[in-house]
Amino acid sequence: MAMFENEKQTVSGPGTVVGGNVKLTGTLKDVNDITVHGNVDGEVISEKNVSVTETASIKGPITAEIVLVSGKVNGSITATKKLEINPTGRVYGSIATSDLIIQSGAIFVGKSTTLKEMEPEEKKAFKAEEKKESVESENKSVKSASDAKKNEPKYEVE
Amino acid sequence: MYYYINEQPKNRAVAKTQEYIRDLLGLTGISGEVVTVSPARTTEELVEMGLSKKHNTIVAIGSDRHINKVATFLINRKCVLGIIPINSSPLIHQLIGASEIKEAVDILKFRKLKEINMGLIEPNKYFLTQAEIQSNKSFETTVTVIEADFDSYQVNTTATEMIISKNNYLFINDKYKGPNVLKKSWAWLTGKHLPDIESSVLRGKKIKIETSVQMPVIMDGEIVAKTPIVTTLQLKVLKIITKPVRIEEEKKKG
Repeated sequence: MAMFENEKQTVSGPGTVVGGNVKLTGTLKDVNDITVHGNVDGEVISEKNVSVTETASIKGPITAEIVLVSGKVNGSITATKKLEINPTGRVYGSIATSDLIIQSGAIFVGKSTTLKEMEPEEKKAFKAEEKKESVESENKSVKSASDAKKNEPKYEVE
Repeated sequence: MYYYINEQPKNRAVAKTQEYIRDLLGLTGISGEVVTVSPARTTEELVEMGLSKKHNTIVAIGSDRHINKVATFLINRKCVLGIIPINSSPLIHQLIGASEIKEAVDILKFRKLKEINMGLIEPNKYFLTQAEIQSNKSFETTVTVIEADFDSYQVNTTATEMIISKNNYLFINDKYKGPNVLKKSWAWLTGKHLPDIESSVLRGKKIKIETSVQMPVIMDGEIVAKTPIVTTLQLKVLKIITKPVRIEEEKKKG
């Protein structure tokens, strides 16, 4: 059998896959991707992606860069980059992420927190942009008002 | 100086291949002392002889089983392992980066060293490629994966096949689970891809495998242990000669 023919020589490798008929108890931790098709009772931690497929059920917190949920999750989710809940996904628990996508049909019961606080420089840039936009819109409104004035019909008063 | 250990030839074809390799080594300019395993001289004795003669490279010529045996005696030694596979699995060919005998001999000449990991079935069965547990019937299994003292998990499932790689990856599959023949046929007819959601791939520094019935653990066609077993990852315990990048580049250009 050559199941691991493409396996890398290093300790890090293709990641962990929990099969559909598997019951896993404990803390599942991997530096690479984790894909769950079965049942997990415990914490799931990855430095990369965690994928919870349609047949999967997780009772416990999930921490990863990117989390994709198509199955059931009973627990908090922390996704530093992105969290996506697909139409078949069900999440019961608080979520914290910087980029959240909840597709139509998905169930989410819990509290949502934006993970990334804006840096002061970003805030400044954001405010400046906001100001610029408001000035532009003001100018536009003034211009449109003056245009309207110009276009007003002139009546001669006898 | 290279020290070559031939496997005891099982048939005339293997004996001829060994002769061909000997000629090839002479032509390549890396000829050395060539010995052959026999009932009078075991692999272990020959390896010890090679080490006592201060050879810095011992080359195993033969099948997976022979290569694995030689490798086991060279673990944590200063001596380097060279490999010339005869009727070996693709995993051995992949390990050294050679698909044929001539290429394997060329690789020996360039002597590019690489430290590799090995698997260990406790207490003392090392493996260079993989170990397997297989059955025609489904059996229940409990696998405990330990990454660190405080970091472990337990898996309960059924299986017909379990494969442990040298990097301590555990592949678990149950051929009786998953889509039935009808579903598979329908998917084949409609050209749809059925994803494999029943197989598992787990990894840890230490893996304990327990089964509902005692199962043999097979390595290179030989039963080496019976469940329950504990396998551990042995990091960089062996130096082997592998394909240098330069040869790969030349091959791509050519």
